[in-house]
Amino acid sequence: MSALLDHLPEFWQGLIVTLQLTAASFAGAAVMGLVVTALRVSPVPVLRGIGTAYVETLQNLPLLVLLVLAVFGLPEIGIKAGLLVTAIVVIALYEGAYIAEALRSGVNAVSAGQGEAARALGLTFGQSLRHVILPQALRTVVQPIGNIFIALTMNTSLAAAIGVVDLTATANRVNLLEAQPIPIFVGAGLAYALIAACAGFVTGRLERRLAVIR
Amino acid sequence: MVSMRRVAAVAAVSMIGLSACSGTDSANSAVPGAPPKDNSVIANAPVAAAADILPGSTMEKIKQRGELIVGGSLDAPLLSQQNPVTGQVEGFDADMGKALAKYIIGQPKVKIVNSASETREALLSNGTVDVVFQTYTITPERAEQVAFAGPYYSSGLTIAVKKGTTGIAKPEDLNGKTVIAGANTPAIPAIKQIAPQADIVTFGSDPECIQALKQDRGVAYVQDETLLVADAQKDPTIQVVGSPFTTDPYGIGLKHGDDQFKKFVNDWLTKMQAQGVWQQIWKNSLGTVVQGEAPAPPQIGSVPGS
Repeated sequence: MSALLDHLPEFWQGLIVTLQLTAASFAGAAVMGLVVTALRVSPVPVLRGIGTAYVETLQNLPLLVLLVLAVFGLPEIGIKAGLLVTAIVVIALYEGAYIAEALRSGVNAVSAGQGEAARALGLTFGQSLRHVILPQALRTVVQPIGNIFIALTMNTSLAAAIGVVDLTATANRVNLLEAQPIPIFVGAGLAYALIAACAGFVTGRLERRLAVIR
Repeated sequence: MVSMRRVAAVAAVSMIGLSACSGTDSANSAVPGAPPKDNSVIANAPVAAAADILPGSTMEKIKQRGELIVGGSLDAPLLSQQNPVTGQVEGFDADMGKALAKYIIGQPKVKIVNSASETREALLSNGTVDVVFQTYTITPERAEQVAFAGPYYSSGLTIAVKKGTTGIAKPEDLNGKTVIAGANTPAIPAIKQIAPQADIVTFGSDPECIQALKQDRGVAYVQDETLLVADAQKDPTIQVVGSPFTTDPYGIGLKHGDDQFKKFVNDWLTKMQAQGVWQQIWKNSLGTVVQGEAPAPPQIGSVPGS
């Protein structure tokens, strides 16, 4: 236990980095997901093709491969950002594909009559998405998006492999010194579980609050 | 066209990065220690007298099993690296494991279980592996969980920089700078102690760290001297500065409390060194990049925790 308690400041710093990674990349993923969903349900075939290609590419590559590619490959062509920024951007782009798929299922759950009614009222494609389709779609996918948030939190631990000192990297470093893997990794695991539990609690509340009564 | 070439460059670099991750880039002929001459070394290695294999002991169990289970790496150049062509694991640690297997069983039959710094203590205490040969630095903290035979080798950390870097001559100069280190290596606590203001970034494997150094992710790379010497030999843009600033005694990890086995392994180590087999194994692996004769082996039991 002392292995954990002696290093609380380091663990705290690692937890903050993990929270930064999670919050920033989830914000980015949400924006990316919205854009890609709009592409995938748009009436223009080329845009639909771009949306599909994006989702298929990012969902079918492991996140670790994308991270290593971005960190070691991009500087070779002159694109170089800090390690934390690189990790945030890559995780946001990757999880954006999953959010797009969740949102699309929400859009499909909105009955076709709603879209037709919006068009009959003279709303443009953007307006009908903004005012009619998306507000209903988002409410039905609160739970799946909460799950993606939790998966994203766990995926941030892969940033430890590319030099970001998050909670996982901190646990590794402390263990190197103390050689007490069980308390150290159980401690780090509990911190992740706590983040996931908070996310589950919030999405549960949101879902009840936002449910569409039909 | 330019963009095509760029895409190709990215793809090529990523392949290097990926193969580095999986640790299978030892096909590179620049990696020394590959020639299959080491079999003759193992042939000269000692075999224990039947009286030394005490009934009911760990040694007897291993002998009956017919195979020594070693916790080790498959991706550590010169120490324990799998050759993708032959499938053999080669290097200093790997050969020491084979020699110990020969001492107990009569044949160099070894099964390497890929262990990591996070799992070594657990693998030993639950009996998944018999011994650990994995640049396992002896420390008093670790000695509370496992027993250490040896030390069987002593190494030290040193600093590598991009050629032409100025202002870094000694470890204290790393203060306030970004320093690259291998994840889960003793370099991390060592840098923290000598240069507390240094910012440490870690990457999983040695080729990744070298790539990061060349891409200016940090101004210096701290790693075991032998590894850095080998890296600098392969890559002329990198240079090693100064001499080692730490002493890391490597021990053979054994199950905690098994004093009988510890004494047995220490006796084996003494014989290996007296008969010159230890020195020959060193020459075939680490000695291919370090100048001169094999160093004097460290005194067995000379380190707190061993």
